[in-house]
Amino acid sequence: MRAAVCVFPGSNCDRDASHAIREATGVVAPLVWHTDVARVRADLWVLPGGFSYGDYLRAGALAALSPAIDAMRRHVNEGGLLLGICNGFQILVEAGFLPGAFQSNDVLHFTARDVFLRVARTSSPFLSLYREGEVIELPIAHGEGSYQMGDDEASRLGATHHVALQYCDGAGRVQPEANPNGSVDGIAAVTDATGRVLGMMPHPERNAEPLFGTADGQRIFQGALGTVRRGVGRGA
Amino acid sequence: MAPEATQAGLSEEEWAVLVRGLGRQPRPAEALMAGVLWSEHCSYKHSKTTLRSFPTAGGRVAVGPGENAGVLDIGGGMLLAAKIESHNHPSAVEPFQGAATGMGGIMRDVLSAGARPIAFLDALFFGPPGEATDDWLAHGIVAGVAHYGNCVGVATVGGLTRFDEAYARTPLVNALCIGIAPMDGLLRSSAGPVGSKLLLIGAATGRDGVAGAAFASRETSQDEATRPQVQIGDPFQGKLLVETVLELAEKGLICSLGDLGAAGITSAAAEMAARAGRGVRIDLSAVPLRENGMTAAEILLSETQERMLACVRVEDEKAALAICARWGLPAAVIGTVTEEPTFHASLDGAVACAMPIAVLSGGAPLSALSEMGGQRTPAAPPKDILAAVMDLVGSAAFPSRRQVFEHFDDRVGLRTAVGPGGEAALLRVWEASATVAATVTARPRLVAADAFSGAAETVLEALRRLAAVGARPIGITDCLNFGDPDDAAVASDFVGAVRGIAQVATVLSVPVIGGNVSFYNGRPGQPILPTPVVGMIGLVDPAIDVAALRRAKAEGSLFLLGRAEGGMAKGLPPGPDVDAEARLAEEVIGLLAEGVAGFVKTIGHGGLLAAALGLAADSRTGLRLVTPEGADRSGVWCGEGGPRYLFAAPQGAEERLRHAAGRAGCEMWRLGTIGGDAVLIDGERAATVENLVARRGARLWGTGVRA
Amino acid sequence: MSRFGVRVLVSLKPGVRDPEGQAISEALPGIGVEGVADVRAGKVFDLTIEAPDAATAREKADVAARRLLANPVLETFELEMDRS
Repeated sequence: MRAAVCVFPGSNCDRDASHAIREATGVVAPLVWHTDVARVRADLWVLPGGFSYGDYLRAGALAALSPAIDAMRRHVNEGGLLLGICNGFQILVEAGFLPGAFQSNDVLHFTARDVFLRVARTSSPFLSLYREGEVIELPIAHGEGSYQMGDDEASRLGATHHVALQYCDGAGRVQPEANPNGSVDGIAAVTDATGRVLGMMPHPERNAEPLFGTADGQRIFQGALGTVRRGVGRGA
Repeated sequence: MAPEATQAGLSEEEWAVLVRGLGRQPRPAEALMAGVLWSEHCSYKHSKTTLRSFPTAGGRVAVGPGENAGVLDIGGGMLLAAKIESHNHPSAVEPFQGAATGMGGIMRDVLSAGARPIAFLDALFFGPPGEATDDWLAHGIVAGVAHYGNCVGVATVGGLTRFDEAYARTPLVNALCIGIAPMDGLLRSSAGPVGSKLLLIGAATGRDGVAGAAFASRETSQDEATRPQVQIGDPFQGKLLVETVLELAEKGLICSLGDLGAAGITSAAAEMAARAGRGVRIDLSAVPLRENGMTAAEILLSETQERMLACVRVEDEKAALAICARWGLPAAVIGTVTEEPTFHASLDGAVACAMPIAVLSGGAPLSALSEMGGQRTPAAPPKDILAAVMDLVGSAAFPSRRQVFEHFDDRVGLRTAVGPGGEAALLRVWEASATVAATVTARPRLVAADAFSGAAETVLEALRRLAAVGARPIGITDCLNFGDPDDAAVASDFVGAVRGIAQVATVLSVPVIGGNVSFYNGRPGQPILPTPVVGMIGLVDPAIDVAALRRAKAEGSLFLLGRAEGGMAKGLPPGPDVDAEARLAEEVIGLLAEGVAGFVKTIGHGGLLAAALGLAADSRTGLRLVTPEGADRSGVWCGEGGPRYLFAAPQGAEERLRHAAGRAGCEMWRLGTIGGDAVLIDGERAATVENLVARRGARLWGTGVRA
Repeated sequence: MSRFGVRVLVSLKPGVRDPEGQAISEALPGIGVEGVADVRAGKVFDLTIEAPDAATAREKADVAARRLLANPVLETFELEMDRS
């Protein structure tokens, strides 16, 4: 099983993603500069968190124009797995892999804290090791994390994409008080119709080791690479 | 006095020294360069003599003061670079950019050592919340710190936020940066061999902050007319700079490295040359410019952010430029290292500067400050306990600082084992199989009462915070924020504070590895409180279970280790008993390592009462407390100063705690139990948990945006 | 080839949430500006475009706006040609 992390100018959670993948699965995921991506083969590509291109214009807008994105499209069409974390999610949305758009948090400032999340769907490789309705804890750290959908996009929910994680309270209730940024329906993560592309605002790599408590983030990586190991993804 | 002298910010005496040093009248650019380099901010002319009393060598010091950052050997083949620096005056005028560029500047200082920046801590001082201007400053500064730290991807893991009328409209922003490097990755800022190239890396140069350092050496007035060219930080460029520089360093392409901070190219090149006993020849036409028509002086003194100066061997020039291009950073060879120790700069063939390096760097005449004897001002005596509770809980010190540090990414890098809100931050350095501890402390009201003792207490509080997370100190970096040094009282406080820090550091054998002095803080005629900020770095004892420390809860009984009464019960800071502090700190570390007790709180501002009320609020529990028999009640609860620690531990730990205190020559008292819905002291209800929790969660500032 | 100035004004589609605009309108009374019923925050981009004629310049600006400057999910845009 091969994994790799795509690095854009301004990405800053790339080492973290690689570290977490190794701790959780033993797989060594190299850091690959975005213009070199086409030369590297991997079963799982990660678009990490950070401030690619300084978040200029809109978060992820400029990274979405990188040649790496074409390589990612081919990768996904050939059955590969693609994970966008935080800024990575923003890039996936700007590049059209996933619907929606991001806006500033309701509180209009960057917010770093732990949140509870309800697992809405487990039929994606990334979520296959969680239970539907399970409540997990992961940290968020973002300023433009409010996920919004255009009218036509919201209506295609379930057809072109699925809600994967929602902000909730400790008891698993998805409600406004538990929503840290004003995302519509408390949406924290979304997959495409196939489940092989996951965009998530919380950082699984930041809670993927026992030191950090529940290590709830581990299973995102273990699920993805375990699936590949079982041959469910693309061929060897 | 020559008008050029005034324009350059030089005194009559300094002008005369300059003319003598050159043997002629200075060229216009030369006068301006000396003016900036000899300013307080760059030359430390008022403070250098006093600072010589700091212990700076020994222990784990790899690089002491004098370089861009101090460096410590943390074992396992790894080095740690750390430094704290202020950016007060720019933040008072343009808070967002002032704070942001302060973060960028200190980060690049650490980067200059070849270290990857891994953490920030920030000490912020504001006027009381509710005043429109101070709220605007606070919002801007917090946002600026967040903007830079978050975007550049360096976790902000600790700090402090203080409010006092003394800082009204004159905020303090002190940023500490920590970085790590492998042993063989250490870089110095001493210029390479004769003939090697000076490579300017980073943003194109504009007119930002021209003569900003000289500006910092005059007190602030808030009006628009004095608003100078403010430097703009660009953390995205900052991030590219970090990665580019580290790649260059890793590939062995850098002989030496300097940050372009105050006085830009001039100070970076002059310092690099001075340290090597060499000179530089710079072609200003080669400097990539952002604006048209810049004069030689403007290019030489520009403080455009996100730039560094690297010294590169001739044979490595091409490879270095290629790496910069790959990362998308402008880079240009702007000069050469020369044998003759002269700073030579020309623009389009016209010589702008040809000064001996010795005159430029280190040529500023120093003046020594002196301490006045017997200036001890008694602090206000503590009121009755219940009144003290009301004051504490109602003050701006009580609400949780989470509302501040929530703006900061505290976990990027995956090294943060304990982040903001604890006794000290804990950072994993897996490369060295070590955990590093870091804290910043400040006790300005104590320093105002007695500079020597107050500053000593500041260092001791940092020692205790480190002990409370199982760490022993290995280095200090200090930021000394004071008013106008020509004011005899300010000068006296400065000397006394330095003496206090030096004394404690010497007895503890903890070197001061570098720091920063910021004078002229305050409104005209009204200096700030003397505010020495101490940053302390430590190593966690390997036997400590950090995961357990993270999880520790306040349960069982409460114990006080150390002195029953805080030393300041009688209204004055105590003389420091450094030996007792060191011994008790060692015992505390031992208790944590054995797992006897996991929950420790240090006792600082507000004394034991503040520590207990804070514990009750954060753990959402009541306390039943009893004053130790025979002790003075107000001394126990309101006294400040140590050595004292508050432990929460199971009842069964009592004997072990008593034994540890005895070994340190101190005592242990059982203060009471944890539980219930109120805090009771000697049977009297002091506060309800409900009220404490509400006050802990109270907003410090409104949420409105101020234009 | 000449140079043409084209201004691109990007605004939020009606009904799209705008917490920034809301915060600004709440702050205005604090500086003595009353009676502002609503504020919507947008962006302005001034493009200096080299083109053989104004129509071509405008077309280039249109592509830039549609494909990058405005996010079609939430934003619309208008173009203004510089008359000078």
